[in-house]
Amino acid sequence: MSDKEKALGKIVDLAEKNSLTIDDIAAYFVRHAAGTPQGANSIVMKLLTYVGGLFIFAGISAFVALIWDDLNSAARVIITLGPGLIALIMGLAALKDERYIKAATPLFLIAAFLEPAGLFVFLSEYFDGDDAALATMVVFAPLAAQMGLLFYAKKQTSMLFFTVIYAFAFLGAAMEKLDVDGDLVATVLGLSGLLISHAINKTPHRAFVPFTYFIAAFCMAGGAFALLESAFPFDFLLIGVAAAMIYASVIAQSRSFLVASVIVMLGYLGYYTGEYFADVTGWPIALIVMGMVMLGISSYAVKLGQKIGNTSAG
Amino acid sequence: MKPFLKENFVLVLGISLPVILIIVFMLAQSMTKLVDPPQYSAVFVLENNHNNDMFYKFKVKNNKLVVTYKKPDKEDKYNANYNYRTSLYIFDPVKDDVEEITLETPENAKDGKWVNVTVPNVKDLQINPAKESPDGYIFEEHHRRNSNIFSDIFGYYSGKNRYALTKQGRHVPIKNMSYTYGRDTFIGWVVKGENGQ
Repeated sequence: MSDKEKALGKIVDLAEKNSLTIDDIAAYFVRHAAGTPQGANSIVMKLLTYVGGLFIFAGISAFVALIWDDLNSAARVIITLGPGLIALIMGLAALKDERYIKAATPLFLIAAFLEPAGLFVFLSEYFDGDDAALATMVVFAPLAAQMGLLFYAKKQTSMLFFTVIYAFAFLGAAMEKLDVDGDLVATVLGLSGLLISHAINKTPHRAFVPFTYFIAAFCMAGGAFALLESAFPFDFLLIGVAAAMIYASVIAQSRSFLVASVIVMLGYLGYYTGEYFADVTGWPIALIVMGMVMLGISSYAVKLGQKIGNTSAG
Repeated sequence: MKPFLKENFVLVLGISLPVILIIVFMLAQSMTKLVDPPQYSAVFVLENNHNNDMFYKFKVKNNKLVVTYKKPDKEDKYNANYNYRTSLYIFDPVKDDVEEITLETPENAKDGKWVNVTVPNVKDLQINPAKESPDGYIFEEHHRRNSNIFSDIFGYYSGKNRYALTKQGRHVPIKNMSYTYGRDTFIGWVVKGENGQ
């Protein structure tokens, strides 16, 4: 066992003995790093580095956009797909050297954007197809496989994140190709996203899970709403959907999922009042009741959030 | 295998749901292949017109297409600037080929008068103006979006696939039209001449 692993073992022991969560430890680190002059300098340096990098990237992108019409097909593919592949290779190389390991994730991020862009340009330049769904499938199937294999080999969280995104892009396009109703696609992919987020939340690669919970929750709720909207009496199932989401967010112990679920619940309640009470004389009363329900739910959500915060780092 | 499934039930369920949906729809779509493919060419018109004026009229009389044209009373700035055009399309589903005939302004056009226009490629065709073809297909807008969030993000454009021949769930999209925007008018089915019987 290496010194680093021994130290981590001690930290875990101490955290368990003192009921500390990962959030508590992370927050302490952030607080104390920012408080020291060295920490403040480090933050300014990081900020300037990121902004500088963004400026360079934006400048190169703007330059490419300016000369785009003058480029032939091969040049267009090379200028988009090429940097994507190079960024990926550089990211993999950075993983091998402790000094550059922090550069790996930004490089993977660049690769994750430029590789699909390059493949779409390739399809657009060399194929006469007329099918965006098929193009999306052709682009994201190999990319999902690529990122999946890289994740299997390197166990990097960013690679898992892009594997999930690419796989969902492929699945969504496949459903679109099969003419599956868009609302059903959103519902199924949203539900699938919630389940997969829940599974990933139990692994060390959980850093992006709050984001995917949030997106998947809205995706599922939006799809369910579009499917059931104005379909009396089935639209009353929506309240069950929102309640189930709040319950699931507590089970999953995720604040982002809870926030999304509460917004969904309020949205559905707004729909009911507008749909069934807007034209009756009791509309002002309905508004007051709605307001009280909102207050009640928000208060309950705060309590749940605190409970989640106390029991987990979700 | 069983312990793995038990341990990763949520993950397996999350991955399986969209896959199951895809398989169900693939099966449903494969059923539509049992429907016979279309045999008759469809004739339709697209007018890329920026206002509601109609400069061309299309009518099927005794199974022949009659096209008439009226010159606009005054210069239409919008259509002059935006490259107004009217195109007649013949889609042959057997060859999966679409022929575009751009209608030219007739030389004998006079202000405010309807004049006949001869369209060489169409004048010998026998056209059935029924909504449904003799083999049961109808011409309609194909509602599948030709873009998605990812093709939009990465700037992949494909918007040339707006119409289709459909029958009992089978869609035969009309591909490779040079443009697909504007007002559409369905004319009829070619029942004699070209691939008509």
